[in-house]
Amino acid sequence: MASPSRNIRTKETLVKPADRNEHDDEGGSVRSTKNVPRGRCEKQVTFKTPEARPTESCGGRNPPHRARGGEGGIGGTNARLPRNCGVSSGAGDGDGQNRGGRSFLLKSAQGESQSHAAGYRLQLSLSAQQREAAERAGRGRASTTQAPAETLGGAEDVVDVPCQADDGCDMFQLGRMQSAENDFAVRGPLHQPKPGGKVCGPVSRYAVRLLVDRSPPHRCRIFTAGFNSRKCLTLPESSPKWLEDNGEWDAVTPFGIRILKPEIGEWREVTVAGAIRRLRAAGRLDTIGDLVPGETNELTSGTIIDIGGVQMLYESAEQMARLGGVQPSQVIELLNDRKPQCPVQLQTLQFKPWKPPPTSWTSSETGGASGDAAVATAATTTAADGAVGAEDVGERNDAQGDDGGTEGKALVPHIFPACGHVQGYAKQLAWGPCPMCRTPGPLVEIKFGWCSAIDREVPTVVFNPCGHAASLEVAERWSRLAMPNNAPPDAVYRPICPYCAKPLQCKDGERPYSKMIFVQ
Amino acid sequence: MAASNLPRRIVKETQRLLAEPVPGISATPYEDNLRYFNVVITGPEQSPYEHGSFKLELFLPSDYPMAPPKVRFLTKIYHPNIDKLGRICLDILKDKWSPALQIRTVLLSIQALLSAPNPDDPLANDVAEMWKTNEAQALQTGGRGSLHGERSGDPGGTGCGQCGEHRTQREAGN
Repeated sequence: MASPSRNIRTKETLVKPADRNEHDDEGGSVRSTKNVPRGRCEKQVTFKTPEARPTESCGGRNPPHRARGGEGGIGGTNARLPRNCGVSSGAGDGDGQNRGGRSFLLKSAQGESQSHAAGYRLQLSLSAQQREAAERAGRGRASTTQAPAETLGGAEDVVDVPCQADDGCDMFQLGRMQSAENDFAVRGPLHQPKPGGKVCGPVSRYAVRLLVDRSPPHRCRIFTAGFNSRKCLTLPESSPKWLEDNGEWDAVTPFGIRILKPEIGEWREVTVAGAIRRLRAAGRLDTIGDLVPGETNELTSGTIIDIGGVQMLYESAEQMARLGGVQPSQVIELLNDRKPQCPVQLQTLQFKPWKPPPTSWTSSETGGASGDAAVATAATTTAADGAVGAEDVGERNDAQGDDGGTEGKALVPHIFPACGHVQGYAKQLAWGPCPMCRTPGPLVEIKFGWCSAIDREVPTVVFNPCGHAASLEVAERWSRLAMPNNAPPDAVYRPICPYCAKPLQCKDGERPYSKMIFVQ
Repeated sequence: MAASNLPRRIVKETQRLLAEPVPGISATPYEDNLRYFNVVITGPEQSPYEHGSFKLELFLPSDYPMAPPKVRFLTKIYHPNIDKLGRICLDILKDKWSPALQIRTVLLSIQALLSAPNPDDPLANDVAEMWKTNEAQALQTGGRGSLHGERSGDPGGTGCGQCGEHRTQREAGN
């Protein structure tokens, strides 16, 4: 924090403290955020929570098409939501809460001046084995201190490392906790709050730190685990920890954070210090994979981050500016101009006009995004595999089919995702077979994700079975990417729809998407 | 039945049928029941039914198009897939019906059935037998029978292999 004026940069928390059903075990109730005068914002980070629901706090909605030309975005969608809904962050978002940006790079500052550390610390609780291993290495005892009893519940030895500030970058945190410390609350359907219950799941309360350079080219690095309300990055005894050859401690969280870089094509685990390691042995949480020399934790365009079954896509603003050719309103217009016919009711089908998500983004646009930010991430979440496609769709269709909405739905383009024939909704057709080709149903509404981190071109195909429209390139890419549905060791890898995270289904063992076939 | 009570699909189909009739087929709804059509199919060229003219009735049930239309020959016809009461053995009128099919496509299929009888899946077994053993005579009979509204041969038999109910209905009809 060498230059305080510079550090007053707006970066609002994505999470309003409205939903306080999750409590920080260490810090008591969620700390409220404080308002800090707004300064010039060099970046905007937006985020759509994967599972935002009315009961959860949503600062706003992220119109992904806007995340171009210098905006950063972390986006996500949810199959159960009709639109991308969630929490957003932006310079002028009136709903959001602004506070000073933090500028810390986790780094051992032992032996150096700790004046920069501003109280941020790394505290690692060592298990007996870890302590022994450290002592064998001859350094462990020297760097451990007695645990503060109130925070670390009786662990005998704690590695306590003050952290050093780095004015060159901004830090963003992600995690399950809806608190001021997490810029983005990432939860996911695997850990929905039960009525009266506690939110829980494999996403750590403070799961990820993203460090974005303040100066071009704004590289963005990822680290496992984040700081809590006591400014401590604490890791329990159960998480693997070890001494690196340089004498510094490194660790991972029990469930870990994984990245999949397009140029590498294999999942890798990221450590607290940002090292890249191979995945742990299957079924083991107490081990760590081998170090992969030469690979860095710097996110490249198209990198997918997995936080215990919740995936996020990183796209650089540069890349998104290049790609941002898809205009939802134009696409809708184009499709409607073709006057698609329902082959059963012989009516002209009509896509609903695209409406910008209602949000205070207009103000944030004028709020001074300087056009040089670098983060853009889209998050997806995994739907529980048990509730795949047909069931969800059926529930919805049945619910709406019985009431007066059937008449209106008959004019809304629906599709049999298994074959691609487009038609209006009719209750008798909801489960198929397709009247055109007798392919088994279900019949689902054609949905659009409109996420600029994902969209490349005009959508021409739909994913099976969810019915999300995508361009062929997007469909080919995502049907080849296997995403985990849970944290290890329970993770099952399978391709998902990038918009709603439903597992994709192949028809006839072929591709899990179909070209949209309109009857003219 | 007033036109306003008709589903839009039936109105559209009727309009198109009248505006762009299929060659060799005319279908006109009765004024007092717009779901009930008077259909005339001329015998396809180079078929035994050439120069013939066949009257049919077509009715659209209340759950049309989710259920198939009911179609029946009124003119007697000597054909292995059409019985003496005019009932037609055609898969799309039964289990292979699809709501994407229309009156137009159904009548086209019936026209095609006249061009290409399917004696392996007969409704009138005697005709089918004749068709198989002595096609020339069958063709001759077909032509004559249709023109004069008569049919030769014994109409007995076991009915459609697929549609067992036809037998009882027919026998009851007799």
